[in-house]
Amino acid sequence: MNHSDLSYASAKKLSTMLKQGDVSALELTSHFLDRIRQLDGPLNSLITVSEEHAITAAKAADKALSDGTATPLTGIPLLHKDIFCTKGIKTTCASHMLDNFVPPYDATVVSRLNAAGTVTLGKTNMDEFAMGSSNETSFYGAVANPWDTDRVPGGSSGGSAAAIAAGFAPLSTGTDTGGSIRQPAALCGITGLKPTYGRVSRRGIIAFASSLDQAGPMTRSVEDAAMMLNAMCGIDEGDSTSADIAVPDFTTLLEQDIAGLRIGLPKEYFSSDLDAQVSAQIHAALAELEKEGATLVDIELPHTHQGIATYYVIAPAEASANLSRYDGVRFGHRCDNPKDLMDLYERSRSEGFGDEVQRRILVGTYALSTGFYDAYFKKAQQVRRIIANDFQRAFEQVDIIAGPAAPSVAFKKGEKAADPLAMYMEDVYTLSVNLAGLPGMSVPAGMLDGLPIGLQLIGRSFDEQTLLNVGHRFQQRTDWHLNTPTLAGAIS
Amino acid sequence: MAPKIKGFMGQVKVENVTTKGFLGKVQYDSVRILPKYLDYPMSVSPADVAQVAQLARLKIPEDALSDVTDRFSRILDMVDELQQVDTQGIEPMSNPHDMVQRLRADQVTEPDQREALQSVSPAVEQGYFLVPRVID
Repeated sequence: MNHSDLSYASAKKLSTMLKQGDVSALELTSHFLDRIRQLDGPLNSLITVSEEHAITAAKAADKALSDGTATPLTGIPLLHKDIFCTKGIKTTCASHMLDNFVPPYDATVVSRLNAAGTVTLGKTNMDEFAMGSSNETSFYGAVANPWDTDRVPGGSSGGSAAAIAAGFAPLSTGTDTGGSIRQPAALCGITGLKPTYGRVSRRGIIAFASSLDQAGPMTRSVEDAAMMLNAMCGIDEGDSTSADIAVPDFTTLLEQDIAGLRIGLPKEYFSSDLDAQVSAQIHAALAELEKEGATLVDIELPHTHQGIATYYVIAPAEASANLSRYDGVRFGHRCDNPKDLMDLYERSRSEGFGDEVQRRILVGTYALSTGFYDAYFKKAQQVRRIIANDFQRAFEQVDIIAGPAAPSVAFKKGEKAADPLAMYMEDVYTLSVNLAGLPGMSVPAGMLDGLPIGLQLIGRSFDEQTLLNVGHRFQQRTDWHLNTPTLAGAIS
Repeated sequence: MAPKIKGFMGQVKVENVTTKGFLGKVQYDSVRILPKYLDYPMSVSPADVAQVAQLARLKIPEDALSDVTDRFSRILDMVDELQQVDTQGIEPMSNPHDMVQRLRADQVTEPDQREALQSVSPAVEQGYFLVPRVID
C-alpha cells in the first residue's frame, strides 16, 4: 500500500489493517507525522505536534494489538482541537493567554480516547477560545483551507477540519458552541457531528459558553464518526451536565433502511440569505435521500433569524463569566511588573486576550450588568425557549431536519474579519441547534467552483443514531466525501 | 451607563439600595428605567464602554476606544432584534434539557494535587500564589 492510500484511508480500514498486521501503529504514526511535517507549513492547521507522546502511545497500541486487548480504535492516529486539556501536552485554546499552559490533567474525552487506544499526533489550530467562524482569530495565525489556501477553513474548529481534509489523520475532535464543528466541516468537505448537549462530557474542555458547548467527532466518513463517537460518550461525574442516558453502539444501525423517513426542510434555511448555487446543490442532495425512500416535508422554524441575536447575548454572557478565571494569578499569562492587583488583572487580561475575545467579554458583561440583565440576558433565555419549542413542534411532523450547514462556500481570508456582524451570520443555520441542545451533523454534499458544500442534518434530542444512519446512507449513494484536495497550495 | 433611549420608555423599577458612606450605612431608593421597547439605534458612549471594560477587568487603550465603542454599539443594535419577540409568560431557558444540578454525596473525592496544579502558575512560593501587595 502506498503512502497516499494510507493518508486518506478510513479509520475503519486502518483498524482492519492494524488487526491483520498489514501495518503497525508505529508505522502509521510515523507516516502521518511525516505528512504533517511536509505539508502543514502553509496550512497552519496544527499548533503543537506531540511526537514523543505519539510514539509512546503507538508502541503501547502495537503491544495491545499483539496481546489481543485492542479496541476498534487501537493504534488509530488522532488529533485534538487545542481546546481539550491534554496532560503534559501544551493546550493553548489558540490564545496568548494560554501560550504557556501545560495541563496537569486530561479532559474526559481525551482520557476516554486514550483508553480506547488512539494515538494523539498533536493539537489543532482554532479561533481563539473558539470564538470565530473563520479561524482568523487564532494567536498562532490563520489556518488555510486545503481546497484553496487563500480561503478560510471555517471555524472555530478550522484546524481540525483542515487537517482531516489534508489527510493528516483520519480522526479529530472538535467542539461546537454555535456551529464550530459543522460549519468548518462543511467548508473543508469533511463529516462533522455535534452531539446532543450532555451526550459528551465537557470536563477538561476549556469553557466558552457552558450551556451550549459540546464536543464531537470530525472525520472523513459517517462510519468513522460513529466509531469515534462510541468512545467519546457517556455520563461523567466530572461534568454535572453530562446526561445520564444509555449510550447505544452508534455503528450498529448505520445500514438501516430509511424508506418512509420524514425529512423537514425549514423554509427559513432556504431564504435569500442562502447562496442560490449552494441551495441548488442542497436540493440535489436531498433528492438522493428521496431516492432512498425518504419524504421531504416543508416546515417552519420561524425564529431562525432571532437565533443570532439570542446566541450573541447568551454565548458572550456565559463567556464573560467563564473567562473571568483568567486573572493572571493562578495560571495563564501574567503581565510584567504589575503595580497593584487591579493593574495585574487588567493588563494580564488585555495583553492575553485578542480583540474578538475582548469584544465578547464586553458584550457579555454588559448583558449581565444591573439594569440590563432583564432586557438582554433574561430576554434571550426566553427567546431561547421559544426557539427550542419551534424545533419540538417541527419534530412532531418530521423525523429529522435538513438544510445547508453554512450560507456559502469558504470565503476569502480577510473578507469578513473586519466586520463581526458579517462573521456572525456564518452561523445562522447552526447556532439555533445549540440553543435547543439538539444533535447536528454536516456531511459533504456537493462542490461549487472547487469548494465543498455541506448538508446539515438535525435530529431529535439524543437521536444521533438517525443522523448517522441517514448520513451513512447518503455516503453510500454519493462520493462527495471521498473527494480530496490536491493541496496545490501546500506543496510548494 | 444609561443608554440613549429614543421613543417609548419601558417600566420604571424602584430598588432599595444600601450603601456605606462616611456616616455609616445609608439606604435610598434608586429609580431605574428598564428598556422595554427601544427605538433604533440604541448606542452606547465611549464612557459606557470604558465602564463595562472596568467591570470586566479589561483595559482599552484610549486610541482604540472609539473603534471598540462603534463595534460594540453595532452588536447591541443587532441583538435588539430580541425586543421584537413577545416573551410574555415564557420561562427563561438556561439548560436545553431543563436539567437541575445533580448532587453527589458530600465526600472527599479529589486527591491533593497542589504541586501539579501550581506547576503552571506564574508566581508561587511555599504553596501560595504571589500577587502584588494588597494591604499597605
